[in-house]
Amino acid sequence: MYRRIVSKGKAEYFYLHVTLEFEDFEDVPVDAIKFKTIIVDALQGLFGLAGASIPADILKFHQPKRSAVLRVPSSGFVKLWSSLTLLGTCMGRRCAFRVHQVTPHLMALSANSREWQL
Amino acid sequence: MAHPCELNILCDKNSGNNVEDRVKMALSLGYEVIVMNNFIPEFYTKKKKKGQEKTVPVPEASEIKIPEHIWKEFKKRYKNIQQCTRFTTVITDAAQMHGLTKQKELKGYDITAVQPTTEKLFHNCCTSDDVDIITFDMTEKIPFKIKRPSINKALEMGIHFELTYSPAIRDPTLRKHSIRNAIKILTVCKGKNVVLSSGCERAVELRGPSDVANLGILFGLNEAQAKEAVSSRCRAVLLHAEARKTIRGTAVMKVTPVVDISQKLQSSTESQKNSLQTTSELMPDESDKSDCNGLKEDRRTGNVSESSFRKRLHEKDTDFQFEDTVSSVSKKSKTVNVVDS
Repeated sequence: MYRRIVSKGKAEYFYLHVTLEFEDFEDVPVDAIKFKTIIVDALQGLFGLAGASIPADILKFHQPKRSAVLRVPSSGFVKLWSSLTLLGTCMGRRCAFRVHQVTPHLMALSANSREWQL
Repeated sequence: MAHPCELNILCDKNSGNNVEDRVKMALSLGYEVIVMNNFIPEFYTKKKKKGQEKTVPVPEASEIKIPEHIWKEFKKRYKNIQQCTRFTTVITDAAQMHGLTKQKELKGYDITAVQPTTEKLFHNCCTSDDVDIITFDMTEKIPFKIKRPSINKALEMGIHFELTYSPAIRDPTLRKHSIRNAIKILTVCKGKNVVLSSGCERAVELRGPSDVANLGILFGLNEAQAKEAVSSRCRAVLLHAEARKTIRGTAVMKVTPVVDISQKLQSSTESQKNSLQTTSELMPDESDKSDCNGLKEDRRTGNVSESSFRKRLHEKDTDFQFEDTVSSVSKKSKTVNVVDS
């Protein structure tokens, strides 16, 4: 039993699985609202107000790990990803966004073969 | 994107002791080739009055490498990893280019990178035989104009241009400069022969290979070039370095008249010989092969003695000989000049 899905043209949305990491693996409490603010600030820092208007949504947020699944329209995908890459500090601490997976299909985030421990 | 490569992990004395942390982070992000960079801004100065040359002691390449026992630990966890060394210096004087070949310690390093400060020196670097990478100070505006003729020469020589992204992460004002510089360089060289590397001072400043490729798109590369800039272009740098260090010679080529070969072919068809024999005539014969071996023995082996590199280089050599009949291979370019004149 399977269903074949053919998508034509560009995907509407892109999905990113990201984690916010602090230097020396510091445990800084960040909630979903703060997480969203950090992302919008990062966009605004690199692209100004036009960047801040890119609708980046948090679909799922895992608070203890500070990891989230983001959804962004494909037109703003490169901008979002690069502003996450270039984010160096937030809340006065050195930090980094680690992007684990990037996909135009949400289903693909169900597994990540790169993080298997063999 | 095979074999992502990180070409610039600073490990001079000023950068602190967190080199292992950074290498560990780079490996966990998925890099397979790690290049330890020794950045010494001034290693060769010439005294004006006495005309004496003074060199700053450069540590041996083995000193800046990750110690063997730690590297073995890494190797257990991550397969197919490899570490190389690189020497970077700032060029402020044409005499310093000369110094690159003079100093013995530099021969131990796999890659040589230079950072020119004027337009003329930039042109010199682009035409030099002893340079693999031309790098730029991304923390301030590039003080000279980059011209297309120089870039063309560099493309011909197989020299690559390096863009470092970690200043852009460190500070918003530096970010402005580094983006501007990157766009400036990429518009002139049209995205060819560009490598992206970190130049990080801390482990948090490192980013994964795909992140960096995406950053390349922001700087103005297209998608394919951006991926190449962290993988196959870096591989090309390592191969260029290997070729530069090992082959110290030029080949004198002789044009074989086409008539001869066609006559041979005719004669072979007349005598109803198999086509196999004609191809065997076209193939490089044993003497050529032995020449090639002689060259291989001559190579000053650096630390990158990977069999894959050698294999590819060897393939290149044989291809080269197949196309043009090499009559004699002399060891140094100087002697060839004498023969020509």
